[in-house]
Amino acid sequence: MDLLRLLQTIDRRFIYALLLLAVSAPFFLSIRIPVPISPQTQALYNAIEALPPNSFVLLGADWSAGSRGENRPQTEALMRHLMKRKLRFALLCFDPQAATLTETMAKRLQSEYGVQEGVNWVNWGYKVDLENFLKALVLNVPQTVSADINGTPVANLPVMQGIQTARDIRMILDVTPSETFKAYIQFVQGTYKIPMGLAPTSVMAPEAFNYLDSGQLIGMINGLQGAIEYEQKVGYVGQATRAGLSSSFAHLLIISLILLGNLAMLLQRRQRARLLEGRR
Amino acid sequence: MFQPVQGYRWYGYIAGALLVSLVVVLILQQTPPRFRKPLIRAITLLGGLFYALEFFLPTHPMPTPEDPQRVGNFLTPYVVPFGNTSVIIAAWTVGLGFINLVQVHSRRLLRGAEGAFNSAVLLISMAVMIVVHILQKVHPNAINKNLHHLLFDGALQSLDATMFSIIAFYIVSAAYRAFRVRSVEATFLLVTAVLVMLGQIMVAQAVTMHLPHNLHVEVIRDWILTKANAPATRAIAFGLGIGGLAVALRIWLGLERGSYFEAQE
Amino acid sequence: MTWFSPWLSAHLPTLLVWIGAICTLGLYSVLYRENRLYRLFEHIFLGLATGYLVAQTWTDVLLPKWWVPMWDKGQWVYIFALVAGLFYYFIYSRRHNWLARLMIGFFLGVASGRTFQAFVNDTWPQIPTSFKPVVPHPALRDATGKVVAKAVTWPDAINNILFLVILLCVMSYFFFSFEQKNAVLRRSAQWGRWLLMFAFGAIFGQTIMARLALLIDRVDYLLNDFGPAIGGPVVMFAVLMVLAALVLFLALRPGAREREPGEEP
Repeated sequence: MDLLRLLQTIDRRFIYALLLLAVSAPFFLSIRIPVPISPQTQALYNAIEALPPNSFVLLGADWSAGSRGENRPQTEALMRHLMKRKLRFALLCFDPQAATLTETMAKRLQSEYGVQEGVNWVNWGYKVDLENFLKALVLNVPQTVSADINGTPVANLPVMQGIQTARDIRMILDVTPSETFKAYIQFVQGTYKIPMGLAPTSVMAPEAFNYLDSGQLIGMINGLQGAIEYEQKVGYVGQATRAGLSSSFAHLLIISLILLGNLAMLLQRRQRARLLEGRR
Repeated sequence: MFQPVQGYRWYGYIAGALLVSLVVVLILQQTPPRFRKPLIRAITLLGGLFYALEFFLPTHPMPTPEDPQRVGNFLTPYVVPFGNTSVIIAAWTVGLGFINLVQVHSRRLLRGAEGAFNSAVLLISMAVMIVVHILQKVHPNAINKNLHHLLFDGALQSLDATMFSIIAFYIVSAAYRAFRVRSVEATFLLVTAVLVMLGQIMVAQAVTMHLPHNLHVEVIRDWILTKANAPATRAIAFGLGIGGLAVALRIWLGLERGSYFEAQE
Repeated sequence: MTWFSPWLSAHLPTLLVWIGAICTLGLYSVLYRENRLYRLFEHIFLGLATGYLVAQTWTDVLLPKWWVPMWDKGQWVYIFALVAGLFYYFIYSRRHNWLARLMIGFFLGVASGRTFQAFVNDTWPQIPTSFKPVVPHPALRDATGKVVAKAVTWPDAINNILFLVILLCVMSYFFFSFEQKNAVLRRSAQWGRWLLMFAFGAIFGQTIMARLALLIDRVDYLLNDFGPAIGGPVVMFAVLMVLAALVLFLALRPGAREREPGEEP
């Protein structure tokens, strides 16, 4: 097999090994490169900063461990920001795993910021039937949610004081690997004009830029890159920042492989064309 | 009539409600086949009417103690009870998937077919998870909580996260193999993808930091996403939105054809 | 069993990371090739995930929203929600299958009725925001001096024109309602297809990031969470590299190389 063909048909397991090396080796480098903040991340950060103290924020978390590489650091960054600003928030999950994942996270972070479950934040737990649930939620929050993840009726919780309808919610945030954010736009944000921010996985983000342009979303944490930026804004080194270098090296590997494959293909084409010309 | 009741009356009401339901089911069973399709269409229309009328009918102030600013029409007070009931009904559908999975794997297990061992493992892990999860909610003692911790944080989280991360290997290999500049479209696609990827590399951002602002890789990426990608996705969204509306209308009005609406039995 | 609970509490952190690592590496074994170990862990994953979904639906939805109001608070009327939910289960009966379609039809209707509000709140606001200023102008103020329209610079105007061109071209590409005989429409549809590639390229670039993030998370887990259990992240890194070398050795040894599609045996 000639070299040009070989460069186009490298064994997949060799590529896997290279990728594993590119992802794992950077964990041993202690370089920290500050990242430029994108306008969408900055806009979301500013919007949360501008909320009056004690405002009530609905933090939707609709992810499972399958997308925790991006959604976990996004959720943590937002949660830290809300806790740091002493804003009240409710976790609402339309994925069964998200309820437990976010509960563990919030409990881990609360002592660091001096906030308390039931007083500063509440986990409404896992819910089903997204659209019908939201249609009812906007009209009567305590009746629709009924109890939190611990089984306590939400109407009795100090964090829920004064929260009756969607009009009492100051901001909606949704951390999601799917299209759940559209249901929030269709049945909550659109009707009540509540500012909404989004933290989608990178694969879902391109679609969301349309909603940013139309003003239906006020800001966004775009995947892992957005999470790195948000961690920098909130001021801590988290999972996303730790992953930054690995991501860079892996991206460089992919770009190199794509360029290598194309270069080899073009050179091979030229070689073939010359051979054909020679025969003629 | 629908007020809460306690004690023996509760059992009486439950028994009465079940009896009424049974009678309704028995009557429905007797429906001649030719009336079944129109009945399904009528029920579909009725289901759609609720939210459609609630949305289209004129609204007026309807203050309540909880929401003094509320506006609505005569259907608005039923949205919350309807939503609550619909959530419960939707929750019961989880059982459909559960039963199906149990059926498929118990059949394989009983036949001793290939993969019977894996089916047994699946059924056992499912049963263990259900028992442990409910136990740690009902009796949240140390052992139940720790077992749940092991199953959820130790096994399920790792398995779920790993299963999806495998795609990373495949996508890299596939990109290397299939991403070739063979046409104008492929060239546009490749150039855009590479520019977007460069824009999310810290090292590339640091390298281009000293160039004029518009040549920073992250600025180019942002421009592609906001100025080139957003209008294209909006055009798709317009098509999807209008298409979705048309399909919804066809379903609601019973105009949709196919096995679901056409089947008599 | 008295010994088990303290033992479990004492060894929980170690057990957690070992279970996590074994599950992760078990699934990654598929990267060498399809094998029994991978199948086993795949079935454990399916079992645990389904079990978790069923249990969580009970504890977080049905228990607080159905069982507690009905059983504890005497709201007997909630029994009808169970009956309605059970209608779905007629799907398992060949004779009474059509009864399940009643409930499915009802909720299809509900979803259709909801679509009007969804369209108005989702797609509608994007129409006026697509009309972007294409002529540069300074900020426009009302009589009180309040800015009513932001200033539009030359670069803004060019970007806005580009936005409109992409939007219209891509929309014209999706005109399938009639044959595109008009030369202008054909040309704009052709451009629409090319311009759509910007969006697809951007989506591809972003997808790479999404998949890599999942892999990085697992590697982070293996190195920094599990690593300390076997002597530190460096030891785990060495283990990973040895495993990768072993896979490469097995895969690339003479006679084991996978044939490329179309390659002669």
